[in-house]
Amino acid sequence: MLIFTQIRRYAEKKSVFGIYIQNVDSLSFVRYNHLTKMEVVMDVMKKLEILSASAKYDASCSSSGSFRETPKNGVGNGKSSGICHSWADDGRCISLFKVLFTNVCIYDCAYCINRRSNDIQRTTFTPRELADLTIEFYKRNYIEGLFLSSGIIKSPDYTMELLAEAIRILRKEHLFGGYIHVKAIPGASKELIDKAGMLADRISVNVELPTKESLMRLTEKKHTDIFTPMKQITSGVSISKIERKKSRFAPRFAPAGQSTQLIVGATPESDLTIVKLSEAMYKKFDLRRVYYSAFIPVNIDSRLPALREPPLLREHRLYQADFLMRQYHFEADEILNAQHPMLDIALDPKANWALNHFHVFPVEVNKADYEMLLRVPGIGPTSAKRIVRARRAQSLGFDNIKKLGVVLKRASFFITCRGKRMPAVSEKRSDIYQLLAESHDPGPYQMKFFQNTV
Amino acid sequence: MTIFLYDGTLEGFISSLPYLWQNSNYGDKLQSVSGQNPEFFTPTLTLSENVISKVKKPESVLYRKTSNTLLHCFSSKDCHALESAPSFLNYMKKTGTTGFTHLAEPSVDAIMKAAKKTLREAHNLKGLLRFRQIRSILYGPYFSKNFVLPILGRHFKMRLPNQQWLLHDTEHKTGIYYNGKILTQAFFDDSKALELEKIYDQAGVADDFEQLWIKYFNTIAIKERFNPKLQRSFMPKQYWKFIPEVASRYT
Repeated sequence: MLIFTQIRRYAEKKSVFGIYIQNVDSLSFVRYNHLTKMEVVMDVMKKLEILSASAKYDASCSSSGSFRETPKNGVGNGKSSGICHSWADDGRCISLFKVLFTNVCIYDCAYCINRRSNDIQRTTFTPRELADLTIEFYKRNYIEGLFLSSGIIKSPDYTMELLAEAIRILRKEHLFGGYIHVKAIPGASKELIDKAGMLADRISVNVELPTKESLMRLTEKKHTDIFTPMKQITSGVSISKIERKKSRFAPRFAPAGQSTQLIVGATPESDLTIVKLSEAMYKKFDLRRVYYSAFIPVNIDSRLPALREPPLLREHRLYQADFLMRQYHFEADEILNAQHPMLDIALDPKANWALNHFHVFPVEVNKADYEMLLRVPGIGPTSAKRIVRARRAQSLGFDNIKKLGVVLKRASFFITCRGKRMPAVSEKRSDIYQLLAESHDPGPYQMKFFQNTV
Repeated sequence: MTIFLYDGTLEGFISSLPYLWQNSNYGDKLQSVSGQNPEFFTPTLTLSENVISKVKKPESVLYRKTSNTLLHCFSSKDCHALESAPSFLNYMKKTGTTGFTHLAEPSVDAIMKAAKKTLREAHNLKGLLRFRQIRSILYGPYFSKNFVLPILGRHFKMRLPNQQWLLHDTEHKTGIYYNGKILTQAFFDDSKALELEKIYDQAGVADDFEQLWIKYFNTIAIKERFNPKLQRSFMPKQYWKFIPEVASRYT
């Protein structure tokens, strides 16, 4: 009886989605539901809704860092700048078609929406279904490529094989040249990760939590070995780079490198621990990016803290600290130390460093070297480069550097132009702190009667 | 100082560049005949066909790069920047390609800022443009402030070489059609555009992948992080009309 109703539903769908169902006929069924072991029929629309809703907590969506030419008779190329195609209602860009292969999972991690013990609807794409969907989205210029993550179905190897098959269909059958970011499943065999890495532009593993103790507490034992696949990917990338030097026809392994993500605020680690961990990963595993995601409670669990709202500002400050390490030549020790293990919420880390090293300022814009210019709040890599080039032709005044993109509101306290400070600018450290610090007082808050707050 | 007058068209502008490269001085101005600001004591020179046709186009890489930047500048809506084109050409002749980075020089600053406007909008539209499948053709209408059609045409030729597509710049009433081999320019008069709009609206309801995409777009946002102001700052409302996932919110 159940099957009959489902088939009727399918028939109705067919009349609405005439063209579509004909194209992917047998694929619009899911045969297997992990929890109930029952035959269910589900159309692509429903699957997409479930699997994208589960994938939205992955922060990475960059499509940059990989140049790829359009394959002969194929579709799609990679732009090294990356292209954002849309912006969701939360203001995050949509560059890649971010989706889970399946939300079925054999593990039971406390923070994860797809954990085994959650009573949610489960579904799985077929590799071909996913590849077809990606190509059709790409042709309409909705996306720059695919971001494929997954829950773990049956075993890590089985899941990794399915992911690799999906991207193999994309690359080899649809001749797709766009960007592909695939997640390596911890515990999967090296051969499968290599296979996926050869086809993808970026392959990554999420650290999820900053320390092993936290991981042990919130996840299952089998799920804690994150660094082994990370090492494998690093060695794959470096071997491929050496091979490419010998021959430019050598295959490329993950040309856009690897990235990772960790949750902020779910466990009691300090910002110092997190920043140190990121620095170590940048140096040791040659990571391109570390993404931080403010903890959003999706499960009720006694091991997790009860938060009024996600720590978005802390996440923002960590990103700022992260950019200081990657693009501003800062070391983790310069940003934080044992006496101050947490980032100042009111002030960004760069301004904080400048105020703590007030004796090195003001710097002369026309003479200071590039590294020193980078340390001035209000001057970033772009404007520092512009200053260095523009001052070859003429000496720069405040009106000039304003046109070059320097934020004088912040920089004016720390610089001189042609030996002179900007008129009417304070030179007292405490005043500058007040002027630079942002006010983040949320204002009065009406408590709810039945809400648990901490 | 001399004011040079060209006819205001793209062709007229391109053709007068070699003449300006050879015969203008730093401080001269370039204006179009229609948008001329009469200055009483300044001598003017109209760049008519028989004046500019006598000059041969320079072959150097420097000239190519400079004129390319000036073309981007011409495509931008910022017409005032073009006034300093003769100064820019002369400055570049003096400094070579490093002159592009001398942004404290007023003529370089004005031209580079205007060119950047075109390039920035072109980059944004590479992402924000949407195709809709109408029979075998991908039809992509879009709105743009600056004239970015040639850049988009080259981009999509590289990206979708085995598809047939039609780009339609609704603001400048022109477009590019690609038949799978070559690019052709297309012009749209008002009646044609209206007809296409009708077909476009019907195709939107019938295109199932578009419905799937809208569904995807609505589920991917995290509601705890809701931030429409940030969204609008990246994706300004003026583009929304032709972006299916937000078109329904467009007023």
